[in-house]
Amino acid sequence: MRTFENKLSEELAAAFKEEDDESLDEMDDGSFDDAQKDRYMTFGIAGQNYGVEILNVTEIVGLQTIAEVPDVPHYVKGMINLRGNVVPVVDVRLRFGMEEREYDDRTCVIVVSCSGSTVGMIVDFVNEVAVFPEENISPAPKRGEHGLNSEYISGMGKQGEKVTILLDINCLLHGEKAAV
Amino acid sequence: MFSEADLEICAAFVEEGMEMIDDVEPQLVELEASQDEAGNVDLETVNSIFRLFHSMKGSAGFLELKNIVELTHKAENLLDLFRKEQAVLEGPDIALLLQTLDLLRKVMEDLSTSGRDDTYVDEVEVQVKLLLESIRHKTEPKIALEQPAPARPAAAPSAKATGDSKDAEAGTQPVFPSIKVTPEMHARYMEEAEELLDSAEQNLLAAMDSNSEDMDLAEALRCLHSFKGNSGFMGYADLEKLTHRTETRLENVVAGEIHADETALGVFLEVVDTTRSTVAKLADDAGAEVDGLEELLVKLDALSPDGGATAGTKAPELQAAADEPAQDKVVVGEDAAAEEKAPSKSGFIPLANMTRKKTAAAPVPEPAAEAGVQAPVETPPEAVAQASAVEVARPAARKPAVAAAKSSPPSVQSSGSIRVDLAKLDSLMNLVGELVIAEAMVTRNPDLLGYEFENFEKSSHHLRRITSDLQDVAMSVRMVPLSGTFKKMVRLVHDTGLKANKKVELELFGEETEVDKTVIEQISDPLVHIVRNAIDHGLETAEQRTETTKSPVGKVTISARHESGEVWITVADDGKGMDRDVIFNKALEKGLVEGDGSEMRDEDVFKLIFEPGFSTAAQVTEISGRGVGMDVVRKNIEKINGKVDIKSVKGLGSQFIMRIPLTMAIIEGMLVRVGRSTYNIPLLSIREAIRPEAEQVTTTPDGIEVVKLREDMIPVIRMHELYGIEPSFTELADGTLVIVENDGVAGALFVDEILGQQQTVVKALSNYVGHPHGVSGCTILGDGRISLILDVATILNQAATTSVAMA
Repeated sequence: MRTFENKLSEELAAAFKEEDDESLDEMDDGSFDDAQKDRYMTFGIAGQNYGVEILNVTEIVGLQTIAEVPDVPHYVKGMINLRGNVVPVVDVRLRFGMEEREYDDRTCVIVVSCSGSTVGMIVDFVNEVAVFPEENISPAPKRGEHGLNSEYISGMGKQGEKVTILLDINCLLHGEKAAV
Repeated sequence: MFSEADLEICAAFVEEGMEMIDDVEPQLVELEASQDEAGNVDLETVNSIFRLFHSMKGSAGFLELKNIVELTHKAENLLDLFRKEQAVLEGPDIALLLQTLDLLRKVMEDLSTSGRDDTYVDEVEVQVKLLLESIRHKTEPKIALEQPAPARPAAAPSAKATGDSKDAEAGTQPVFPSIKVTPEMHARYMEEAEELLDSAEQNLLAAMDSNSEDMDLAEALRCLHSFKGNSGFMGYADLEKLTHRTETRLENVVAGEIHADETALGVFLEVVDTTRSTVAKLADDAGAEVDGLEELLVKLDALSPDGGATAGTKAPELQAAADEPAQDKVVVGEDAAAEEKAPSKSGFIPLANMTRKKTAAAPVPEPAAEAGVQAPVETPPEAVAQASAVEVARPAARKPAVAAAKSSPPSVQSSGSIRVDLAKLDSLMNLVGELVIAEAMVTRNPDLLGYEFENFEKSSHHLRRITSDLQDVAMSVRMVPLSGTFKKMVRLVHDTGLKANKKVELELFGEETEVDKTVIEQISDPLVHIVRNAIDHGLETAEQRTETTKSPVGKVTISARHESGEVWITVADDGKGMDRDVIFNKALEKGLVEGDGSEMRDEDVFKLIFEPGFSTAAQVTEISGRGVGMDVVRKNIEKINGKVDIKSVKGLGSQFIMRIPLTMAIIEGMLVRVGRSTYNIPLLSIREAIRPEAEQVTTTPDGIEVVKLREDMIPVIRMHELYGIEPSFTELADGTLVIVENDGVAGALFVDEILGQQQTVVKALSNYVGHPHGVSGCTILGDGRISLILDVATILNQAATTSVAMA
């Protein structure tokens, strides 16, 4: 568990470092954001690959003790203590309306920050940092599989035969809380 | 209109300006109140108001904010008339000046958002016209012109000189001491300083050998004036003082009061040289103190038209002032660390002494007689200002005459305090909070259980003490005195009194009481509503008052004090008091209560006025009557975990007591466990904890469990049911009941066990989870787990409503 997590963190760090190097060259264009633009952190839930823009990702941590919070939507599992910061965590499975699943040692929390708040997303496992240039992204289908509301989906990333569903973090976390 | 660097200066200007307006307002009101029958007013107050306008004009000019300059300039002109006693101050003038302030405030607010000062250009024009009109009106009939100055008899002989020296102090009065000086500003200042000094020198030299010396001198005067303005803006008091004094003399020369001989010009040139070397020193970051300032000032004073008389008295004073700095700085240091006094705005807390100096310029409404004492002519007003600054800081000794004697040096401002971004303070607070947690993690580490380490114990004890001290200091940094908020009430009382057509006298006590910054923000609105109500509903009209042997002038007292870990802010009036029956009947009418109310305590009846929409007023007036205000009061106070108590005696008056916790950052709580979750119950609301015996518990037919504790019947609230948790125990006898109380309502929270008592740092819940019911925040425990802090009031309220619904 530890080592796996470490490996991931290193990978992520390496990815960031790489970007930093590149960004130095790209600084002249005046946009650091561009360096991270087409990069996505990919993760798996129920056998399907998903991706979120790496720009939003702060870090990845293993699962920790979750303090339950009353009176919140069911997919908000509670809060974790992230080095003194209290961060709410969302079970992405529950958010998608899927079956809940026992957490195992591959279960990870992807900490993302968007619209000013930091939220942890509980996912089955974390994959890699993948690059999807714009031409490899098709628009979201009108209706997702699982009957899942396609508004969370910002596009479908293609990488050879593999298809990754790219998620719009903002919609996913802050979108209508209809699933309550 | 502005570059980014300018915007920063601009923001600082707006902030300072707003503070200044807040300062001026109560003074104006006070001015009106202190007027005697002959229309004579306290000159010292007029002067200090004048100074504030003047300084604002100066800085606005620096930023090229023409509209603000225009407004302040005209207001200054008008004030100047009163200051020089060429006109008598009347009620309409005060109203006009207050209006001007309102407009200024509007312009400033707009400036801070849009970066422009010309949005309200039309209104500014109108206001300027009004001011001009008033000035013309005042100056045309010059009947009252040669009125002697009753308040300051000694001022008569050298009217011009005194005026000048006042002017001088207006310049040295460091109203802009704590502005944030950015490197860009500094660079620009240096550049301009060089240019201005060069040009001043050239003109002085030209004046020496040409015949048209007046022109040249006037030009030199202008240069020095600009330089003085800049120095003042940058907070270099010595430079400002020196150039100001020089300017005064130059003015005398231009006016022909002093003959511009070689000696005079020599002194002026010496000043320019010294100034230049000081500016050079500034470039090396060597500080802005002027070497040989005293000698130069003495020399300049010797040039004054009324000879060395003033100089003679001033010199020793200055000497005394110069002797003091070392000692004073120590005090300042202590102050800055231990306490900080400042009305604050928009993210900045100006620290310690500086603002005190400003507050000094606005002696909070005190009898005019006292202010009169403050005006011994030969004491430089600035020294008085300083001294009363000391006053504000140590209110124990409210004797200006004594205070004036210990005049402190003008250099204080350079070291006293700094402005800090509130975000930085917040992060400091957070870090300290984490440190406290980390300290607990180490010293109460579970790995240490069962071992005894003597040395470790000792060191950890030491560590604990330091962290708790550090915590105290960090907390105190966020503490701000209530004086700023209180001062706003002066204007409010004045305006409301006028509108309600009642004469009101306002007394303020304990404005130095400090509370957390967040509390200050929340307290202002409730205070406004309560004070307005006190005047509109509480106080009777003058006629009614005379009938009841009360003084025709109503009295409203606002006071603040510390009381058992809380701050109590009391608003009391000596009006007609609240009528229990009227309130009760109204509540009955609205369906808020039932029965005849005989079982309700007076207090509870009075509290009905906090219900939304509740108003006993027969009709809605301009001031109040809609029944919204009291609702606002309760909501705001609850937001900061405070309470409002009402006491009232019919015929004698009412008292609103707002009880606010000192800080919201740390909470003393009892940790309880329910299933796997840990909750923190604030100790303040816990009455006791019991293990119930089976026979103590009664279950009503509709399923409500009630525990009999001595004579009280207390409903049981099962935490696990409330929060849907799997508990360890479901039998009441196995677990523990924590009896909590809020607002006289008690409840027994059923929990699995009590884990202990702990002081913890409150963390706000993430916006993402919003405000879950019955939870006010969370905290991190020593072992890193998170525990939710229970909001006892809400839980009890909810329990009350559900039990009513079930019954």
